[in-house]
Amino acid sequence: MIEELLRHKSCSLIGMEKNTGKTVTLNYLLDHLPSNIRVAVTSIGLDGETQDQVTNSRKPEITLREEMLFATSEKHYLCRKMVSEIIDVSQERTALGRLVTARVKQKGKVILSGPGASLSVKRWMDEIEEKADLILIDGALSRKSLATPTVSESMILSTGAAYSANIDRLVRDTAFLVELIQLPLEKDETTEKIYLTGAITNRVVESILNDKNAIGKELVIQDFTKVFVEQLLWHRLIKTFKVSVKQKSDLLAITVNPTAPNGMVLDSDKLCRLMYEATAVPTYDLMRVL
Amino acid sequence: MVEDLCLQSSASRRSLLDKELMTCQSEIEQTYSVLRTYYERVSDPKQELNIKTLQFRLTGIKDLRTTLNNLAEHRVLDDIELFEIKHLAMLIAEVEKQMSLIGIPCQMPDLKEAVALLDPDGLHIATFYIYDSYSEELKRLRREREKEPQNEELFVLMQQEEERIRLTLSKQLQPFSQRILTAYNALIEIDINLAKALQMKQMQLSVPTVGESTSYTDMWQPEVKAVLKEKRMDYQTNSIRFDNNTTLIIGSNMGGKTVVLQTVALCQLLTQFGFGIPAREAQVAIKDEVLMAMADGQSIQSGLSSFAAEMLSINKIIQSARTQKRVLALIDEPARTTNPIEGTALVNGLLDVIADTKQSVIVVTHYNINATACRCYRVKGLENGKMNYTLEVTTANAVPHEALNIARELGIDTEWLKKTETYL
Repeated sequence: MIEELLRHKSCSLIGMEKNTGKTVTLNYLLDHLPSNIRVAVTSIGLDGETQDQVTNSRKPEITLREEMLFATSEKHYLCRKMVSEIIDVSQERTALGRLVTARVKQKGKVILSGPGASLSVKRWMDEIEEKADLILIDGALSRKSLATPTVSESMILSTGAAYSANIDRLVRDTAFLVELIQLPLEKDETTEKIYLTGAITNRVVESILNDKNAIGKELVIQDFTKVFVEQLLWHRLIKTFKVSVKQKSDLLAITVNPTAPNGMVLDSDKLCRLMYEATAVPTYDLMRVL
Repeated sequence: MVEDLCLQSSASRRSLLDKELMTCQSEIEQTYSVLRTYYERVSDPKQELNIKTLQFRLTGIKDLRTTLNNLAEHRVLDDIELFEIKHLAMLIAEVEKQMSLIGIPCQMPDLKEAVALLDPDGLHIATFYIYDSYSEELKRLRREREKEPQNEELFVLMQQEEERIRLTLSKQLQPFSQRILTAYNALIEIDINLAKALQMKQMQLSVPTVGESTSYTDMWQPEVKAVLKEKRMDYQTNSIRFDNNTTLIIGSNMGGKTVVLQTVALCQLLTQFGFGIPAREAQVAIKDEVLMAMADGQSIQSGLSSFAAEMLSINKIIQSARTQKRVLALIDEPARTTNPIEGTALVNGLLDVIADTKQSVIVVTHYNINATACRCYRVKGLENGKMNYTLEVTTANAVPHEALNIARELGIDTEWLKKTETYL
């Protein structure tokens, strides 16, 4: 997974659900990346505060080593547990104050809460690009954020028993999300295209299926996060239509957490095997590796 | 015009929008004398690169009002605020250097000592943290923590020591707070003046003089000019002059009279905010208030008809005109929505009332009124089927009857026009 990651300039981490091990994955990556790689990290999507209120648990901290760059909100910067040097304070405001970019001087922990909108993340990435070889973005839960993980070149998806304790359903739903993530990029062909902006809901799909004028045309959507359609209906759609996206990023790996917050544990080997069979994406159980 | 300004920082924009209309002659003249220096430099092709560099530096201005206030109020600053002050102090030094290259005098307060406090190792880079060199104790604690990263107690001690250093730093910086604030405001002024000067160059604006009466030679309305330019059409400039009395503008429809009123208002405000003026030459008399009664006064929300809304806004003008304030009032076709007999009477009455106040008032009208007490301008109007927008002084009392000619040019139904003629 690390080798694959090093081929890209940026990577977003997204989760199917809380407690699927997104932060474990991020910490694993930060810990295992070669020390000669200059790493910058931030977070997008829902900020720490709102997520905390969902489960009443603390937003997890991540551990950063010397020389790593990170961006977090003013509030979380001030309660970091490390020695770090401020290199920039942006004029842009996040829900928790301005965005502070800093360099770690002595290893320690920090809570990440970055910009909330795709455009702000992109701007930050552009600014930090020359100072970093690899930019990692702690993305939000899938499809629950205003910011899209497709701002980065690549993506790692975390899933697990916290999403569903039913192994079949967990694999099926994850595979469906993978299918959406892997929708092909729009090409400059001369085929007639329909551009769909905004959210793609069941109703949108039904009206397209019933529209005789639409037959034979290619459907182009912004990116996978805009799709909110039931699996069956979606599969009916792609039988008749070619669907492509304007923006996508490579899915490098799936990480699974077989343990649910209520203590229920799935069979790790079986889960990894079924997941790989259903998606053909390398699947890892980081809880076991650790 | 403010929207078009090429300001480098949002802090400058906020500061500009917070400014008040200048009503003191020497203040306005001082503002323009500074602006003239900037204008000379931005017009000098040799300075182009220097100006670009200055602009780039100015993008670094951040809104530091809260931080500077905390410093002045003896609060303990956090790392972010200390970073901001260091960043600002270094930026000020850079801008000062750039300004001297360009040759615009700019006296910034000396902040070397403040920078030194925040740069104990003399690294000269605009980053900040509580450096090891602030205290031997901190250095020792950090070294120990390196060996025992999990030791929470050590971390707490470290934090306490850092906080003690922040307290000391904030105390040491406090005496500089006034100087830093002055420098910060000076930076913002540089940004604003530079943007104004560049706008003058780009839009070919001029610097007005302040005088007893107002006169504009070849003035134009920038927005209309831009629209026409896009359509590859020429803008016809106007010249107008007025004192503390009533000026009447008459003339055919579509003659650009409303645009004249808008431009006069714009130029007055631009002068009193110290901007370049869209006119070849301008002399402006300072006013305390600029009031307008324009055609778009109808207010459905407040349940007023267009007539009622207009009457009330003109009434406000009359009340202001009667005070000691120096007023410029611009009234576009008063009483146009009521019947012409009463309308004419209302306008005549208005002119009588205003004449007593000795204020600068410009009224546009189509009614036949007795204008002997006013200076009267007339739009030249249609000439060989083409509109001539030039204003000319006229002594004639009669309002030109060109409505039908213009309607014909517009291609209005001929039968309607024929029938109309039978009523004249």
